[in-house]
Amino acid sequence: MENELTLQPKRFFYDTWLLKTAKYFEILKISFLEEAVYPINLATDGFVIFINIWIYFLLYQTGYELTGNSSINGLTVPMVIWILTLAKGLQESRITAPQISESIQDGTFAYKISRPYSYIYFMFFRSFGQTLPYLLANIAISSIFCRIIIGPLPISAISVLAGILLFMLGFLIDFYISMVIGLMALWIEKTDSIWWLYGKLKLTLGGVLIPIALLPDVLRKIAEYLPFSQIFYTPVYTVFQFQPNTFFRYLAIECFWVLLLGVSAILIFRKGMKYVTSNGG
Amino acid sequence: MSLRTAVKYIDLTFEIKKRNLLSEMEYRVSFLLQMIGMITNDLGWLAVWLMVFARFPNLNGWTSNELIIFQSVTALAWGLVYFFASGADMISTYITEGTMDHFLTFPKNLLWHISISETYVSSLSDIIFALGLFAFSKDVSITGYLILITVGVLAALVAYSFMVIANTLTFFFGNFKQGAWSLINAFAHLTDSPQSVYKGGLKFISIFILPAFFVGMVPVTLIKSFTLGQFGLLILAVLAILFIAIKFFYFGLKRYESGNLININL
Repeated sequence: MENELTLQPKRFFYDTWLLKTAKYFEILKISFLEEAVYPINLATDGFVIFINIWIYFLLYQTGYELTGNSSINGLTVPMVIWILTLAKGLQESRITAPQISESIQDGTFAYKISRPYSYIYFMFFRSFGQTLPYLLANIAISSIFCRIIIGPLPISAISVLAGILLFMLGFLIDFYISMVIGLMALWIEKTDSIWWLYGKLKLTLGGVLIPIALLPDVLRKIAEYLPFSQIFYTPVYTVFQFQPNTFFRYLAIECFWVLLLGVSAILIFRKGMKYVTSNGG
Repeated sequence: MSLRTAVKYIDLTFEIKKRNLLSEMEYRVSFLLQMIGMITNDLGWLAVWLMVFARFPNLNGWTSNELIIFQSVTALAWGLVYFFASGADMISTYITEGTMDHFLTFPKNLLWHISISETYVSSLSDIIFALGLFAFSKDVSITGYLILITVGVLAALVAYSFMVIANTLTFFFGNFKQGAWSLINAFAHLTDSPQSVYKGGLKFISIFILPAFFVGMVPVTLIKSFTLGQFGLLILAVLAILFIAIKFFYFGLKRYESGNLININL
């Protein structure tokens, strides 16, 4: 009897923890199924990637040919195409970014924050669940197209695992930045232009349109430390150009940004709560 | 459509846009942020391509001058589309959610009404950016500006028509919001990249499937060296794409299913 009593708080803790976790995984599952149920959308996304590979291939092939280079800063045309295509594949899989500001504008935000879950966790798992089907499809499509058009590049199990780890941290960075921008709708109503600006920063300083290694030296050094390149470029670059020293440097940079942006997002969320008014009915 | 009706529609379009603009300007900080944000966005985009051209100074005859003209035309075209007709981008949402009923109850032309119902005020920055950027081109002149504005409007009609076609596909596929967005995205990528490198299959796609050539390459060529033949070809292409878009939309509309939602629009 005594044993049972002493065990109860522990069991209660685990049960509650399991219930809480299960709730968020259920959100992830539902969000995943919501998107995966429409294969035509996944196929169209694949078409976008296909067009992108083609553009990149012709652009960089022409550029390398006309300048008479076979390699620039250690990057050959096949490497550029593989890196850009996979980075683009990861970028195209993001579909949830403006959801927070939209929910603030249409009023559903006030409803969601009163539900029995953490809004930040809810949005994270929803975002991840919605991204996952596109992510898997895009990686598969990008890899198949690149393999056919460009041919394979050597990779190892360690480089892939390192890339996945960096990608997960990059996802968190993207999520926190999206959250901060989305929550800005509480103060400035419309955040469209900031989304577009953020999107362009990911394309440019994020290495999706032009590899960071091909940027001018000063800009390359700055871009390597900014959060934008950590989201897509760094994970993909690591898969194809794995070096332990570089990997640990990227890991440290990503951890720094995750912490800084995570704390900022939570503080802004708490401050923003003071601006929310909820009416019944 | 008679001339009188056309004038009425143009009048109404400007009246609606004026009201949308004034309504957006009520939130001054938001309005200014949107305008400044979009200009910064455009400048950033230009900077990236200038970096590409700094690495590869000549891409099949295109140098940074052609890039400036190209960016001016595309920014002007997309700016016009998103200022005057961004509602076309909502067609897919209305179909998926069954909320097109609101527009169906009005006596005016349905596609026109949906298209002009939304206004991205920040796209005004695109238009300002385009006109300002062209001043830095080697081909700048009054005639150059007149051609830029003319081909910019024609390119906008092509982009608008494609937007309508991509969104209309939702009538046939159910939930196609993400798919329509992806198709427009693919089209935008084709209009954003230096088209002088396109060849083979990609060139074919850019002319006949995702008609990006009529938003980029053809207008740039016309600004560089205007010929009546090419101008006529552009007008023919615009008319054909617009005709297909309108016919396709009304053909798809027969499949529309109302969501039976009651909305109050104030």
